[in-house]
Amino acid sequence: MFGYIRPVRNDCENYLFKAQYCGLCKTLGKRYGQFSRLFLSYDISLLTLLWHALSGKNFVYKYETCIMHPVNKRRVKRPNEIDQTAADVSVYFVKKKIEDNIRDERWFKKLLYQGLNKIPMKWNRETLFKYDDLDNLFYQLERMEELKKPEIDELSNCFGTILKKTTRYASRQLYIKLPDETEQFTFFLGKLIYTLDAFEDLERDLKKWHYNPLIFENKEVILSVGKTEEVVKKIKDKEKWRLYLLLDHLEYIYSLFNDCLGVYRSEIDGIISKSLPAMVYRVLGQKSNCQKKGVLHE
Amino acid sequence: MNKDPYKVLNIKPGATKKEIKEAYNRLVKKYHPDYYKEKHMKELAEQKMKEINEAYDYVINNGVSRQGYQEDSYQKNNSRSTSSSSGYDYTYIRRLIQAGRFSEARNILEDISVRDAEWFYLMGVIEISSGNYNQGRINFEKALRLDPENSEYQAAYRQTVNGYFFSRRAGHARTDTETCCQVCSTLWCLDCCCEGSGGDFITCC
Repeated sequence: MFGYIRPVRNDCENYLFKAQYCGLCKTLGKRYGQFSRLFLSYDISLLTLLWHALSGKNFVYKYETCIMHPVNKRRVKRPNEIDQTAADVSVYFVKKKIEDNIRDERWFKKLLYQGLNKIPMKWNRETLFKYDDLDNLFYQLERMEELKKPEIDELSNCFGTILKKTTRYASRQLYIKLPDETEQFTFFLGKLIYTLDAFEDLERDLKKWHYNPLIFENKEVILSVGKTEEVVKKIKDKEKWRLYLLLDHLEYIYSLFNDCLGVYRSEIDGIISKSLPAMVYRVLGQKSNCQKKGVLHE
Repeated sequence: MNKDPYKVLNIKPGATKKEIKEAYNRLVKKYHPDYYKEKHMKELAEQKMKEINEAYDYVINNGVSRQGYQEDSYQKNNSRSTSSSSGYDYTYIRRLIQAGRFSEARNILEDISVRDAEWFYLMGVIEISSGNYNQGRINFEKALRLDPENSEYQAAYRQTVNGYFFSRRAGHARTDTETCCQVCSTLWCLDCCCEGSGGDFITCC
């Protein structure tokens, strides 16, 4: 589900985000073993950068090589307790994703995920970020998907609440005082991620007949139109207002607290105003200005 | 139900019982599960039929046809852009919404029994701000149906479907804060700065 927030390439301002990404990757490796570095996501990196910016702590760099970049030394954020909590959150989300895939997939893939869930590795044994409240929300989301609820708002709001509460618990663990709007921002960020996921998986879900709230929200389109491609195009055209409104909503909430971000502001500004719209346009099959120049990270 | 029953049946709120029945029969003919062979299409058609039946029951039981039309037109005739047809003063609720206290505003709104255009508009704003976009859109549609001429409701609906509802509201909020004093002080400062280069708009200072 994660991985929708990708920074715009060649943007000279996003060195902080890259350093944060590398720092989180290294923290995952040290805390949960090398295999867990595969769980790294851009979305959690953005959350970490946000927590860091609002904590008022200094951003310290070091230059290091890694498996992916063995020759050139890259700027890496020196990990601190914020990165450690973010690594715990990443592992928690990945474990939930694996549990979700075990329920959804069949045959070989199901066995693969079951095996992955039983590997006696460090990331599988220890769960340092664990809250019953979050587990309940994941269970609620799972129940709604099982019942094939047609309201995408209800499901995406549930995922938004998961991200909002994650931020709340993480800030409590780290003793950071966040502005009130930050929780609201992470709620709508989660809502955007869930909605983008539903849009992107629409074609595959229609072909394999997997559950997708957009299918059940647009029953009349599917029952009246024949070809899958045509159905996908019609549903995307009909429902794209949600994504545009979400982008607008996120930008508005962000504008309420961006003054508190200090030196990190221009970096996060770029992600909100360029990267998020670029991802929305990509999922809708339209081209944004960034994509026309081919500068989006893939 | 989460969808607008009139939209599900594809009828106007003033429709007569005969029109509603015709619309219902037309939809039953189109979406009956027996017309679909594939299992998943049958499942979808069953859900669609459930939705149509719920909408039909709602419209019939909530006294549309002649009675419903009279109710609607009564609200239309009495609604004003500043005050409401129910006589309720919504100023406090508007203030709560502006302050971002949505749950308080929602609780007060839910206690109001007579629901006019203003009620639906304000509920729409609360729903959209809380992330229930579809419900917000439906409420704006209902507000517009009761008071089609109201420019505020028209703008809210247009901004929602085009995806700039919040930026426009933020824009309005920003212009509201630019008071007359701020404009005058800016002009005075500019005048003082330009005096050295020959420009003097306000001659007395």
